Amino acid sequence: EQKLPEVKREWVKPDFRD
Amino acid sequence: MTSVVALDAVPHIRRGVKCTYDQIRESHVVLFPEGVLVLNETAASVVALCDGVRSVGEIALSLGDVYAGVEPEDIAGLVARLVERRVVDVDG
Repeated sequence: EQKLPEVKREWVKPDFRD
Repeated sequence: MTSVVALDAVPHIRRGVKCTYDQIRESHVVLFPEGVLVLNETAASVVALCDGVRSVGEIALSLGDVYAGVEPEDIAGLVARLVERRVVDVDG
């Protein structure tokens, strides 16, 4: 069984518009 | 001035606050009596884990399964801003 390497998403600083 | 939230603080969404996905604008939003916040993707992921059980540090660990390079301080900073907006409360 070959597991594909997990592709993680790039962390972007969490933010919001108010 | 933004207050500081510790990594062992346990955030939860306040009553009367609704987190939803705006299909029209294709963005995550938080609706609360005083206004609307439009979240970016990572902020939405953090808010989804503010369940009153997990601490800020545990939220960072959980998000580490999905994102590379999670910064717990970023999460603490976001939670502090959400506390200021009276969207989130913290215990501890």
